[in-house]
Amino acid sequence: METSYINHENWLTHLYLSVFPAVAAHIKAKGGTLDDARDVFQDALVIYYEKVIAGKVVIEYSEKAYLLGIARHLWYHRQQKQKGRVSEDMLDYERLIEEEHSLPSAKRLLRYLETAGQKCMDMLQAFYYDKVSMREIAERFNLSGERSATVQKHKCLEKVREKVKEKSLTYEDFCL
Amino acid sequence: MKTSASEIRLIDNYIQKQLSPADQLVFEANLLLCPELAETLRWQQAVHQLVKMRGRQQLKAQIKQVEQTLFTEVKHQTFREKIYKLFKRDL
Repeated sequence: METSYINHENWLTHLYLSVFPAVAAHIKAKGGTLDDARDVFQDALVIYYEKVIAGKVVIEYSEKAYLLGIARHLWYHRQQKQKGRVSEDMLDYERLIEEEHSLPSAKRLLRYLETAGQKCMDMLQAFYYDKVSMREIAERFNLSGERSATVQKHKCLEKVREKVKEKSLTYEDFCL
Repeated sequence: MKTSASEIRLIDNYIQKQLSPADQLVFEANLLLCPELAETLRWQQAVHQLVKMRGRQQLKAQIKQVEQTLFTEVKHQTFREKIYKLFKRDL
């Protein structure tokens, strides 16, 4: 898969080195394995990215405390789930992590869109997922300014929407 | 169906919850009155869902790449030893 325009390597490496040992120690103490610790940390990083980095939520505590908190929370609820106990507030987190496994045709659609509209997908992802500003999007995509980037983004939204619509009719299990 | 730029923007603002309460009410009334608009909205929501999935896939791929580096490169040996020591009995 094509890598994103934003390269997260530096901050990810920094977080692994500074926070993963504490997460691993916690999970080990709570009966988990190294693979469990890796899984939980990966999911915690995704949540952290979406809420704090892209979501621009200001955190009250240190980055380490926050990330460790998410990981502890994830592990606790994962264990509850294994024991057959699911608590309500966890459902959102789980959905967040699991939804990508539940839509096989969504994966096919994404693969199709990589060939049929990659540039548009890059732009939509930069704006909606990575929350990059319009000014920066204009620069990255060689557009004359924010206004033209906004117009282009809407065109892409329409183009991708029509492709998804067209293809979805053949992928029956893609549910909206 | 080809939609106008202003309609795409309106639907997008609705999805992003950026409409004023009054505009949101008008939009929701229109959804009831106009099945075509409701359908367009559903497809546009599907695009958002796919974009989010793609974002996560790419982020996870990068996370795995970093993890791989940390667990294989010589310069991160101290880090690895620290982690392996924790799980010694499991290995």
